Amino acid sequence: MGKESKLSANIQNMFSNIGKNVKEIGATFTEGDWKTKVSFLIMGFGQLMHKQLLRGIVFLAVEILFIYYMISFGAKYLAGIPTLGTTATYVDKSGVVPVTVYGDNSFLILLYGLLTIFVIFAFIFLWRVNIRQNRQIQTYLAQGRKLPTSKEDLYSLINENFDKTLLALPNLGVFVFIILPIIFMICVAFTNFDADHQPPAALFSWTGLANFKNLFSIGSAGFGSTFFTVLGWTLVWAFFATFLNYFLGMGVAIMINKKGIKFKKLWRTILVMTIAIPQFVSLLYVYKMFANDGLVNGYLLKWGLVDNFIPFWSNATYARILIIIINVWIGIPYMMLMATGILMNIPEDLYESARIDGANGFQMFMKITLPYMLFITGPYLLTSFTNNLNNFNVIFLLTQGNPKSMDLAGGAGYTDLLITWLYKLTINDTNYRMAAVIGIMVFVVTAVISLVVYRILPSVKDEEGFQ
Amino acid sequence: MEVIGDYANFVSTSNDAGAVGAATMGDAIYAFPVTSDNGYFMYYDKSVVTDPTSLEKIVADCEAAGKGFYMEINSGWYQTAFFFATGCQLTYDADATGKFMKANVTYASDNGVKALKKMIELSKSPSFFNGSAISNAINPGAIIDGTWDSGAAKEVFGDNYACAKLPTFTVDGETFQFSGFGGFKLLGLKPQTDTNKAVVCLELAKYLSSAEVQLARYNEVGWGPSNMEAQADSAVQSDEALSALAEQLAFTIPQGQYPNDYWTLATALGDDVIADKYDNASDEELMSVLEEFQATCESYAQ
Repeated sequence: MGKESKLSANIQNMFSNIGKNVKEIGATFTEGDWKTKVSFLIMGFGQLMHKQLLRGIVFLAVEILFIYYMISFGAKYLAGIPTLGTTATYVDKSGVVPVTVYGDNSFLILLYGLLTIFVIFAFIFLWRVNIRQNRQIQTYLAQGRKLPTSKEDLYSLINENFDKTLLALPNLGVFVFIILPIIFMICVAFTNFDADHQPPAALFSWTGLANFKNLFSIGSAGFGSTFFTVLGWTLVWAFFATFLNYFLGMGVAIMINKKGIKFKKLWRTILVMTIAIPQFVSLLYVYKMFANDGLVNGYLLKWGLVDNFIPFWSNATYARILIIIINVWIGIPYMMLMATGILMNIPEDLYESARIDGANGFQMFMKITLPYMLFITGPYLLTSFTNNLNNFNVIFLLTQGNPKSMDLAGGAGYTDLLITWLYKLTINDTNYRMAAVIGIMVFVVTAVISLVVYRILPSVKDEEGFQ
Repeated sequence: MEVIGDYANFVSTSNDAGAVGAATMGDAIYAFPVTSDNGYFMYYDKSVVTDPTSLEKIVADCEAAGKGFYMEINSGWYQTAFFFATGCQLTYDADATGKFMKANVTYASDNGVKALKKMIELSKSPSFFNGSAISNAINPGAIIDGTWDSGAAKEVFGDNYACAKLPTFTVDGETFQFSGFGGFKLLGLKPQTDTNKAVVCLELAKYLSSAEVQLARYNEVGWGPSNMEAQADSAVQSDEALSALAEQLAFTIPQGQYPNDYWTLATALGDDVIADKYDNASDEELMSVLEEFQATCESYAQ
């Protein structure tokens, strides 16, 4: 089934599900008795009338809490969402001292408004469950079956419904700490929330796609050329960081694995020591080592190898090359460990038969080792690539994204990734709207690459062929 | 929170003119000045630098002795020393709410080109290093720094510790005196919604910026006072770093308000200079760079 027909089939499924639900609700109403009909308005009524005390009380409490929440808190924030606040904060200077009177807070309106929308959806879902339970009551009564009692409900929470019990709290946590902030930040990308529009002193409002236009506008004032420069370097960096580490790590593992090498454990330990020291410490020291007045330049000058210090970090090209090399230094150990383990699994007789047939080392590598490694580590390569797209640590600890330039807008530098530029826009410039847009772009880039590459991975297509 | 009435009177009468100017936005006073020592001057090694009045001689002395000359030219704060020296202007007019209404920038001029050329020439010296923190300097002969590092400078230079106002520099046959920013530390108050609380905050701020507390602060941590009564004290008058700073302050402009984006832009210009981007640039090319710089500065004020 092609991609397009799968997508349209999914959409069709969704609509038919909604259609089925509406029909079922309609049927419950027409076929039910007066208790069921009242349950449409007062949740839990039907259950209480039929002595399902626990269910009835829970649903009734849900409805009362929802109404209380909307009246006291939710309604006013929901009402503010279209405008994101109209009353600004002002200073009352009429008294002895100036007194500040706070107006609308756009940030809180957006945040709590989104929360209220989710609460409304949750309430609709629970109302639907209430209807379904009433239908179940009708059906059971018609069939003469016994209705589940409160005690049986409690026991089912620990037996067949234990998954719901256990997952309730984690789901709540995921929603509050991950889903809600992400939706909030996606919404910020469509506002003008930046340094000039900071609540509570000022309001911000919806601006539609203006920020996206700014991101792609080529020209001196826009972010367009800077965005493409930074995007280009991000992709180049991710490519080199992933594949250079991969092949060099594999090469080092093969070399250490060879029959004639002594002290295998010693070489492996030396290489692994790099990852024993936290990157925060080692990279800061390496940054200082290569500074204009640092160790490396000092020795080069002392030995007369250069006349002037080499500007490692102030020249964009040198800085980029040096970052990739230093990343090889800290990235090889992981790959080497992984490759050592995988290589030990390749059956020795494959190599024996290849040697008998007269293959040399390079041919054996290309035909036996490499396909095997690529098959096993295909998904790892993909995740490593997408992780390197967002490799904040290495870039920020080494150069902070510098050197900056007059050609790059928004405080970006020549070694900035999209993610470090986003960080600088947020922390230094408090330009939250452009940062949110760049965040969405990072997601788009990562998602496109992941989906495209995953489909062409041999690991996915060729599992039988591998065996 | 704005300072009005008697408190505003207190601020404007007891502190020196530069400090009061720095605490003012539009025509309203917004803070209580606490120090007048946030400017910069030069610490140097007496045994290395023979003549601290000329930039060329200082750099030559450092090169001969294999020591470093440290100045943070990619900071919008130190960079203005060049441009203000040749007569360029870069200030912003802000209204009472902090919005920048107008930019007064004249970098795109012959004076600006001269300053930029000197900056490029300095960055090409083998003894020039970009930086302003003496604790990060490996082998300093001279460093453009401020009074906050006077203790560290004494440790680094030991008996050869000396301070001086910033030197003069020569470009295209003309000599200019390094200028820059005169800075001040200010005490601001959070906006209050309750009158009584606001009064308490104002009284506390008034006490913390009074002559007696500023003098105590000088004796404890060496902060140069902004209160005129405290400045007249004999201990303050005899401090070496503070007198070098006071001498330099005569050539500086008090630092006003600048939008965040200006500092990033100035770093970008400095980084480009350090990256040798303008090594063989003609005067016309430098002028077009400065025109772009000026246009971007002006775009930050609407």
